[in-house]
Amino acid sequence: MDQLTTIGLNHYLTISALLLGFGLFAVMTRKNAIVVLMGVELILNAANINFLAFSKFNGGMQGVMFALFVIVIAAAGAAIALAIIINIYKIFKSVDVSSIDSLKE
Amino acid sequence: MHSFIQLSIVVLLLPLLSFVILIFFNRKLPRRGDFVGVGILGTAFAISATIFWQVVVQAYDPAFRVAWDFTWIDLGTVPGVGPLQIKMGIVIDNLTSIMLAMVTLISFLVHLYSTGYMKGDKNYGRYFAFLGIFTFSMLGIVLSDNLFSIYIFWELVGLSSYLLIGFFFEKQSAADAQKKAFLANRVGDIGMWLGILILYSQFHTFSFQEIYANLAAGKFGLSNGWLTAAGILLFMGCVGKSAQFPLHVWLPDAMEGPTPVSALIHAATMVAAGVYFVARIFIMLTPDALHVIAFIGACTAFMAATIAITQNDIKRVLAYSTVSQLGYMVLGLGVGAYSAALFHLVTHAFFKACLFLGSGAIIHATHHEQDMRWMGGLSKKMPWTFATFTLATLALAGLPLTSGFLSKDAILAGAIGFANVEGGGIFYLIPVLGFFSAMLTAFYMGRQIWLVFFGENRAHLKPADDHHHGHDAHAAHGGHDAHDLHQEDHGIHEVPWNMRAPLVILAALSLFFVYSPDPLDGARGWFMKMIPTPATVVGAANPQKGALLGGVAAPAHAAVAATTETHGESAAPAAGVHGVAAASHGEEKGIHTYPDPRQAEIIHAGHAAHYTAIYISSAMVLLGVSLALIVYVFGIIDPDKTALAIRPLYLFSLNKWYWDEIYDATFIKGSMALAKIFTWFDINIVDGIVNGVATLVRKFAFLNSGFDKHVVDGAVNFTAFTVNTTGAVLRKLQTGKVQSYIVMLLLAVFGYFVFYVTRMIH
Amino acid sequence: MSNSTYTVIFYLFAALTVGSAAFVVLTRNVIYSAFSLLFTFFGVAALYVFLSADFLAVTQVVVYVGGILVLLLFGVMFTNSIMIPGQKSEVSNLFFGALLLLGVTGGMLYTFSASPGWKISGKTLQGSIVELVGFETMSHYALPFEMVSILLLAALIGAAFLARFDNKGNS
Repeated sequence: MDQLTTIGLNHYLTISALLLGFGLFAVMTRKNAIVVLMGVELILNAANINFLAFSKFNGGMQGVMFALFVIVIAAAGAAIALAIIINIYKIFKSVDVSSIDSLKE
Repeated sequence: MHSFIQLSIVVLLLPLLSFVILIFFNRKLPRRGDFVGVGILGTAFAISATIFWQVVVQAYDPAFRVAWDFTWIDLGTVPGVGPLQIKMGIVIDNLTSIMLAMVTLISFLVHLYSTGYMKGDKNYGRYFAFLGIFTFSMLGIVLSDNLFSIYIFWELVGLSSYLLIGFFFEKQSAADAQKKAFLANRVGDIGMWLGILILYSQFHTFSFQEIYANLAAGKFGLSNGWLTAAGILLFMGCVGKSAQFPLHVWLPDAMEGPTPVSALIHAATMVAAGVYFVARIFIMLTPDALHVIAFIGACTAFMAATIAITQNDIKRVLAYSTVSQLGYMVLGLGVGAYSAALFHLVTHAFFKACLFLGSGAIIHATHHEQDMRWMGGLSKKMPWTFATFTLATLALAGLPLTSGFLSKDAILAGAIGFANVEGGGIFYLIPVLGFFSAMLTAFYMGRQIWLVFFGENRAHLKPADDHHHGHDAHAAHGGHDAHDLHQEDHGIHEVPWNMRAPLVILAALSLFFVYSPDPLDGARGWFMKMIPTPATVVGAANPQKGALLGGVAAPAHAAVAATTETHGESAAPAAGVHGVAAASHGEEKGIHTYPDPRQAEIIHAGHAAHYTAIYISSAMVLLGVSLALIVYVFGIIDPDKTALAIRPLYLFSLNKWYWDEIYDATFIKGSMALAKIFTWFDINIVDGIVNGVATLVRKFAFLNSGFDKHVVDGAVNFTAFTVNTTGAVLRKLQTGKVQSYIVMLLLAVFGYFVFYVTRMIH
Repeated sequence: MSNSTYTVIFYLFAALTVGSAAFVVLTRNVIYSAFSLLFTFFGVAALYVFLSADFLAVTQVVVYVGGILVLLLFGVMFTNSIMIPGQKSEVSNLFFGALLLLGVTGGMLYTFSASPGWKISGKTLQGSIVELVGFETMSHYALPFEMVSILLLAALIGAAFLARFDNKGNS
């Protein structure tokens, strides 16, 4: 019970693991590219929570800074990814990632 | 580095700079860049004159010598030979500084003259570029201190003469002449290179100083015959460049080049190179080699003189007179009259340059008429040219009060002395041929003066179809139409100042007082005092050689230092060893210091024969002049009738002793026949072998292709089949869907994770 | 704020985060997913506050909610006919996906519980870190900061280039 009431590192890691799992699930299973992108964002958030949790309980600033950069890069990635998705939509008239398999041949 | 060396490097490189600028940029420069060439050569002459002034006039030391060298190529230590390195260097002594000033002065004057003579030529700028590299090459020869760099510049001279002789290359005759000059020079150069190799094989050095030091120390490992051979082979280079018999044939044909170029070739650059080179190697020539040289010189002098008397082309007469005078110089070197020969080289350079430039002025004024038969009466129309040409002619003929008299007389005196010392009857042939040539020289030059400058103008007598007969050397040049203009003489006028000034300067340098205060004796002048005969380093049959040279550390230095006092008044006592007593003559107060008695005797006998030579040569010259007067002025003997009377001799001379025909029949036809034999051999035997080999190869290839088709291709196809099948299987995994890739990736991660955890648990 | 209140609030936010994340993944309606993601981002921002990273929390709200989420919504609206109600997105790999979701998450949770625990430093981050972030950005992390800004610039230009409407057609 003490473990449940005193919020420690494991609590954050658990949330992080769950977010990661949901993110992976979205990336793996959903056919809509936008939702895949949402899954990616979930994974990134999970990673950020990990960084900040370790940073908090280690007392250093490395994790914080890393999380900051991750946010920036995630923003850039999201912008690029959306641009690519829109391009794909223009070409294939669809954002269904399972139908976009021209790499096959 | 001595300041003279630095200055001389500047002098050497300036003409090259002129060449580089003009060859690349002449079309971009105003006036096609002629002022660049003239200006640069003027600067080079100014610097050379500075060196000349400081070395010859101010130092006034016969033994003056400044040298500098650097290692150009270091081959390291060669097994079995020892350390080998090739050095380059510059030496400046009296001879070099005189030659430097002479070459740059004449080159400068030729540049200046050419601005008038070549005006309007379509390759005007390139012409000056070629003059620049010609001068550069000659200066390189003059400044070199070793055989190797001399050889390099020697070939450069050959190249530049090739370019300039064939300057009007559109004409077949000019193109042929340039090839002829180049090939004749090659023949000589091969001999020269062999000579260099003989010396190099013995001493492993190209440097003059080191070779002479080694020779004097008796380190020549082969017999004396080889040394003689080396000397004669080196002399072959001179035979080619200085147009000695039997390689003289190129020089008259070289008249196809522009006339200022002829002046440069004949006076300052090319032919002088040969004589200069023999002078440089003079002290290593054995008496046998010297005899060969003397006879070749005498033959050349005589033969060329006999040819010159019947030639009609104004430039060809001068060309043969050049060959003849070069024969004198070589004769002088051969008989040991070293100073006299070099003296003649310099005096001849000035008056011959003057003659050529004068003939150029005449050709220019008469609209490219070169045949003397259609000239005449030009003395009133061209007074400046007439005066300078006549002065130079007197010098060439060797009349007293001129420079030519001093030098020619010195050579002839040396020849008499030589014959006296050698004592053999055959050796008297040399002075006899010399004197006879002197007479002929006076005769043909008198003929030339008369035909060109006196009498009536005979231009209208010229047959209408005659201008394709070898007299149109300049038909391709300038765009003038010679065909119409030569009919009238009103076009003849004096040349402009830039062509007149060189004539005047050169004519002034043909007077005796420039060289000697005594109009009868060149030995009292500065020149022969500054260029003493060096002591030989090979003095064969000299019992004192070891004793004399063994005690001197650097014998080659001693060779220069052991100088002679030619005539009594010279007060400066010569440093060095007391030589042979043979030279103690009553009227001489100086000390003779020849290690070699033969040489000393010759010099001494030459002095003794001085007045004999003056009398004989003056008599011969007067005889020649009066003969010319009798034939051409007073008309007592009709030249045409005489020619008919001695027709075989006349034709023999007119056709240049048939040398071209002889060479054509022997060497050229021989080469052709040899080429035919080789062609037959090539077609029937070499080709047969080649074809046989080809057949074999084809058979083998046939076999090979069978192997290739069945075995090699089978293996390749099998490999391809295997790869194809594997690919077809693996291809099923490639769905192209992003998400299946992710699933596989995560499965792999998960598998690893499980594996890791289970291992951790255990 | 008492410890128990703190704990309760933490659990509330944790539940919000995880629950909305699950909804993002599990609902078939894309619009629902996008709006549910909003709550996930807010929850995560709240967790950042618990982790003393107030600056990061604000940044999270500004960047994710204000930027990325709006972008995602634009993407949804560009690429789906939202006017058709009840449009569902397809699902594939459901079996493997579920297996891996359970496997990975379960494995990680098992590891957390099974491992002997973390060595927690005595000193933890407390209070506001805004000032510290400023110092760190301008000192130790100056180079990554510059690089990231250039990257961002490049990404934005690249995104604009990729997504623009080309009248000539670029297929």
